[in-house]
Amino acid sequence: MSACRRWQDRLGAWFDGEVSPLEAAEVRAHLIDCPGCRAQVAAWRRQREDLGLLQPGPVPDGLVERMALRFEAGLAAEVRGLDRALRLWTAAAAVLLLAGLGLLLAGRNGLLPREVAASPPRDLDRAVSEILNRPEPAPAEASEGRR
Amino acid sequence: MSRRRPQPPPSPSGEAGPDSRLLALFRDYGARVYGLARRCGLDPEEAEDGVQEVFLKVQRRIDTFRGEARLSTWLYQVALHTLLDHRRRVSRQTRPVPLGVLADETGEIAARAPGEGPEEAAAIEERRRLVRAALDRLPRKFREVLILRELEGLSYRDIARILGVAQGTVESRIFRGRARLGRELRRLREDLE
Ligand SMILES: [Zn+2]
Repeated sequence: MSACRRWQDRLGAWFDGEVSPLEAAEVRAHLIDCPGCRAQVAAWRRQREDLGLLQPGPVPDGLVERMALRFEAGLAAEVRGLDRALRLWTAAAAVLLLAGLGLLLAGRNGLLPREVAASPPRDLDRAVSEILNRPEPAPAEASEGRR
Repeated sequence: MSRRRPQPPPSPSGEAGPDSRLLALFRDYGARVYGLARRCGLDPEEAEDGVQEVFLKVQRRIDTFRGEARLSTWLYQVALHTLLDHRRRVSRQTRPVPLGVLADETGEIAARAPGEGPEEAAAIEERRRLVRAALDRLPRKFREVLILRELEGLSYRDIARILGVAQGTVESRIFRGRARLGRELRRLREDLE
């Protein structure tokens, strides 16, 4: 006892309320005659009931307002964060510039500073490690420790 | 989406800044998106996080919103995508509670009918978890049409717009999705016995 293949499309559309009144009448007439299609519809009904269990309860009072406030605060924080990141970047770039200058001078004197900047952003990291990984200067001049 | 007339976002040229436009959108659609999050399987706390994530995405993409697409369709697209991703991430992080163990961590138990005894409630909760597990096992293309059709109550036409596919595709996915879900449910029920 299985559903008729040629009726399945219409049966599904009817079950979802997606057919015209005329088609609906045709489907109902067919269902009266066809136990296979009736069984199909019954199975879909049971499944619809099952899925209905996943329907959440009503949205709690005040939840949307609370979420909106959180969202607003998040937006503000993002703007502040962006602003801070920009300022940090500018500061770090200045530090690098100074450090580079220092390195240049230190290189001349055969001395290398131990730390260039505390926690520079990524690009700066790369630039710094590139500077630190340059080939060793002549052994006699490099005694002042480099890490 | 036809349940409520969506309000167009306030014009960007008005005194209202982009943030207040976005907040107005949040107040109009927040509950709707929260409901969708819960229907996608997020628990109440995860759903709140999911809603934040959706609107942050909306904020970043508001410029890609084309006026001719209905706002609710566009928002649904962004929300469905974000929430199903969110759901996948959180379900990977948290160890699934084995079926057969009763827990109301889903918060869905709140929907229980009044006057129900504890045993009945437990049986219903068990059934709910089984259905959720079966739905989770479906490929995403079937899961999303079933959520939109059976839980959100959207028409084939609206689902087709949201997913950007033909209406016939929606119809056949729903049909195949129902068959798959039926098989998964049977399999899970057999495993329990
Ligand atoms: Zn038939």
